[in-house]
Amino acid sequence: MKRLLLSAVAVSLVLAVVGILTSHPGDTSTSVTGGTFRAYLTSDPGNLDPARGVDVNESSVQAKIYSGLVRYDENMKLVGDLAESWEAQSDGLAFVFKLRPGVKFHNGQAFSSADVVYSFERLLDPTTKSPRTWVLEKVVGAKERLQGLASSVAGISAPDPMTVKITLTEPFAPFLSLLSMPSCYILPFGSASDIDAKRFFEKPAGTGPYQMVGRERDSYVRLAAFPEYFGQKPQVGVLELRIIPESLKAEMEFESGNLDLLQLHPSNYARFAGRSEFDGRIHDVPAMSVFYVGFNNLKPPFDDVRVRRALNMMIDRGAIIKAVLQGRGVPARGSIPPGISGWSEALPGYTYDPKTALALLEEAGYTRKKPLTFDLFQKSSQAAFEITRLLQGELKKHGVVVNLRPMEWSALKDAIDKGEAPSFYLSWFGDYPDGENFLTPLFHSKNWGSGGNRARYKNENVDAMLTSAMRIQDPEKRAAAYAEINRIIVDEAPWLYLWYANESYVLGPQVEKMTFSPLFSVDKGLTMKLCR
Amino acid sequence: MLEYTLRRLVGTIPVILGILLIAFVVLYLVPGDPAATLAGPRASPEDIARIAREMGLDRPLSERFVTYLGRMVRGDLGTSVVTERPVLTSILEKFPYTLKLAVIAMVFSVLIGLAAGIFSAIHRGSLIDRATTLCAVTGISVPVFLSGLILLYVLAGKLRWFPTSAFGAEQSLWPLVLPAFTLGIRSGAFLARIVRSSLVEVLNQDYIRTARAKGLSPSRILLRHALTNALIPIITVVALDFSSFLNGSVIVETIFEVPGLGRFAMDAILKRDYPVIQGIVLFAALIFVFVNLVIDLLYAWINPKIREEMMGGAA
Repeated sequence: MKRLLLSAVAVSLVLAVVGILTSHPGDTSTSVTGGTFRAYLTSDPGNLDPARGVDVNESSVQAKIYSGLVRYDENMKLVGDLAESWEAQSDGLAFVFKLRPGVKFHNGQAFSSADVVYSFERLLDPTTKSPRTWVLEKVVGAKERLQGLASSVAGISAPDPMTVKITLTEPFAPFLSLLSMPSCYILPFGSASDIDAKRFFEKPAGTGPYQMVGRERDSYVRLAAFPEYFGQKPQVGVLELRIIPESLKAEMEFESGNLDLLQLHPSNYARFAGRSEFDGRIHDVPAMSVFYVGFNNLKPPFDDVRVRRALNMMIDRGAIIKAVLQGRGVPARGSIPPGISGWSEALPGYTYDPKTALALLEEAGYTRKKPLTFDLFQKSSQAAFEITRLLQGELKKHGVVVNLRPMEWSALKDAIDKGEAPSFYLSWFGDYPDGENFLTPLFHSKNWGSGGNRARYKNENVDAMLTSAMRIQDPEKRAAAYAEINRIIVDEAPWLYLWYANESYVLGPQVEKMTFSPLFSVDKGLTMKLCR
Repeated sequence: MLEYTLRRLVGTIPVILGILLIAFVVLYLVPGDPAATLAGPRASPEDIARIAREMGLDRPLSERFVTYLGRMVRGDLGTSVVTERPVLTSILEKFPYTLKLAVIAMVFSVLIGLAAGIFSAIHRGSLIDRATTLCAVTGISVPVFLSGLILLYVLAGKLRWFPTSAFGAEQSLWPLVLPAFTLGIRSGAFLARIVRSSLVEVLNQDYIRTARAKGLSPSRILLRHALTNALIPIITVVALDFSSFLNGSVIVETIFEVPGLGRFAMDAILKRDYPVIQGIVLFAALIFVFVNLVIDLLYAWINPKIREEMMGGAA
């Protein structure tokens, strides 16, 4: 599930910890297992159907209720979830999964391979209306099922109750990573079919560490640790997720001791970081994201590579990160963030060089008298304005005129996807830690517009290289291939690369410890622990 | 009277149809594609087209309008494209919060408005009157998001007299008091102005002087003779405020975490959830029409002159 959201929205999910600790008579230790961990979401997780959700708040609840075949742990390592082990066959054309025995769903149903086949076929069933069918598009028979030409998916089979075999139409190395996404979470067989679907998702049953025990739409979701969970048990008893859309409100609730974890933004970070009571309680986490200004590579003035390169050299990323993000970020050298396959220390990216930039612009026909002028589309949120106004000011120093075009999100997305926006401020949040996730959707020409390549970048060589890279089974060789593709794309500057931002959280005094992963939106809620 | 009521009821039908048509057309004109919004940031045009087809968005506009009208007439508000739940169920789930909030807010509004307005009118021209007027004008001018945040910060955050949020409002009314007060002061301030000016006008009438000359007690003059005659504009303002409260207040509901209709509507608009938006528009239209009808009947009940005109017209 790819996330291209503006900074404010990206910051959507936040967990907090509860103050209401359950009493444990006779327990003299300083920490407890149990208690209520109070958290918040920025909007109601409207639909808990994993096949439907594209929203970060929905995913974060789904991640705690359901399990997939595989998942990423806190160290970004791919580990088995409902699959105990797996094996790639015929050079990556097929995967055989051995399932974990003795797993129970929250409704008491026993887990078996039939549930996996059911859930995956359901995702590809056209009546499910899933926007995420691309996750399984390389499975044999997926297209036929999606077009209604087949009633089942040929490439998904269950040789026995504890084995699932998936066959692909072509080798696709990141396939396991895709299986970790919420769209591939497993539902109990038959549960979500037909009319009952809606009722089922009111109080869904998964195999995850938490089960839903209560909810009031637009108010809260209450999850309780599932005693029969097959994995490491949660260290809190209840996870209460309140719905708080207003960040100022969340801050007030945190300050009043009603929330024990708060997501920090550029506007309030300094206020917390400066207070001694929060020493050691603020966590900065690289978020596996890239912020950028996309250029419509087809439209003047951005059909000229000199203009695109010049703008990349007019921005002092380090200074902006220091000024606006309190240093919580890394200048972007391309679309792939550090730590992801394809990131290369050897690729310097663009550095601040206004002289060369001005020379390039002059070559392209722009001078102080005839300045480069363009519209920058953005979301009309304060978080977006904080960045775009600054960019506008920086570029003005070099004689470039930027007109900001703030829009409401749906309208903005429409304008960008249709190619009406000459340039746009956006971000991309990875769904899985793989270079493919930061290149193919963003720069392969088959993904123009709504598919992710909103810059409408096209390089046939890059297209071919991306297609062949996904077949490479050796991780190191594949990483090298992505590094090379990244280098070629960066040279053509389809974006104004900005930065890889950190997400920051502050923990309340009741939290003894909690680990944050870069994929926090699909966190299982297993690491937080309360003190007495 | 019954015939008049029936005539008025029939008269509301074209109004509601007109509102439904406008809501439908406006939604069509607003940029933003519901299928694309639902599909998320990575979806091929084929995916979006497939979802649009399932949602019926590929049909001609006229056909969609007829289908939609047909459903509305049967009382079927459809299903949310985001949550896949029946729109009516959601509205009925949210409405109790909004209703409770509206009623408490109205109590504040009427108390503040009547007290301040009457006080001002009695002491008209005095320093106290001017001070009250200043307060009222301030109350009207300060936007709700500001007064809400200030009240929240001071009364709930610092002084801890109130809970900081309406979280848990399903169990008690207490968490709704502060949000209701926030809504109530603004409309109460406006009401105070109306009460004052209507009363001042009435208090200058000859019959009030006559009543005074008769030696009636000032409170009797005020309540029985003056206020009754000043009621019509007051009722109009109260009723219109009430019906707007009943449609939810986006800002107050957001600041205080009230899971009511206002937030529900806002979310639906941002996500281009057409069936929900249309359902809420219909619901809001019905409330306004109904409240207006009640006001008209109240006028007749309060003012015999209007009643006679109505009867005459009905005859």
